[in-house]
Amino acid sequence: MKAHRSSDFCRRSRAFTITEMLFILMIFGVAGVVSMRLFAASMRVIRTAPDTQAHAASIDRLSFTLHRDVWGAKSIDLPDDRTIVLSEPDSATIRWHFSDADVTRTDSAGDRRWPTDLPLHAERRDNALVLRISSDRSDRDDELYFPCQSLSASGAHQ
Amino acid sequence: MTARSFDRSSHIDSRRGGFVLLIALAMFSVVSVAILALGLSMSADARRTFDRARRSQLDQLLLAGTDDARQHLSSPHAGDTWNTQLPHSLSEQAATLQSTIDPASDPGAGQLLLHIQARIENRSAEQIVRLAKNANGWGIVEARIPSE
Repeated sequence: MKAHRSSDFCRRSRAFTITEMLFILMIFGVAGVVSMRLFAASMRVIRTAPDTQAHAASIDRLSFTLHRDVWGAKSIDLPDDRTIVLSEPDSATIRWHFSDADVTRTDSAGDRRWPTDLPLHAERRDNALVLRISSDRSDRDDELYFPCQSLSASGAHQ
Repeated sequence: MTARSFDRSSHIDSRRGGFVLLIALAMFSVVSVAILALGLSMSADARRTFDRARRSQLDQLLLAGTDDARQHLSSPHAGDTWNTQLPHSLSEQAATLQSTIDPASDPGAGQLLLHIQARIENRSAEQIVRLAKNANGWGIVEARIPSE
């Protein structure tokens, strides 16, 4: 009787039951899906991080120049939300245009371009210009605020 | 189980363990690089946000400086310099706002150049404003931010 029970135990301990197998397979499946998603997300971050930094640097450079242009402008006109026309005190006109591939600044000296594929839109807010940067990473647009000294001093509003 | 079959089984187990360790290390290194890239990106974003906030504060100080200067120009003299009193919250951040009438200006002729310099901690901004006398006092003819 005792020998029979012992041989039964040995036979059972040599193999897995179907429940154990399914449980292990389920754990492997979940672990596999999680690790694949983690791998894909990691690769996406590694791939996009330099591009994101390059875009940010490009926006910083163009915003520095736009800040100076808007600050001294006598008037700010927006024919559409992707074009800015600034009248400077010396009657010169500076035109900014945002296309899908780059940003172009045109004045009497010629054109200057900043490559960026971020969607930029301009709007007038009181005595300032606001540049909206749409981003697919966030549900909220990023906004850059450019005040105008001449319009602020004269108290002009749109 | 014979000794030979035990050896083979343990050899397979150790090979499988090595493979799993290799995969785990590769995964760990990929995730580490991703976390590092994300950290660098986030710190750059934070620095950029701080810079923008600081620049906005400096812009507001320069605008305030122009308003304040026009009240100081009842009897202007070339070379005059004054500091605008700032709110306590700004003074705590070592903020200063200084205006100087350009020494080469001739206020008597109805025109002057004003240099306004704003500073908060180690960041500063400057503008040069050309003012002309009109019926209402001094009006802005031109304002520009000098090239750095």
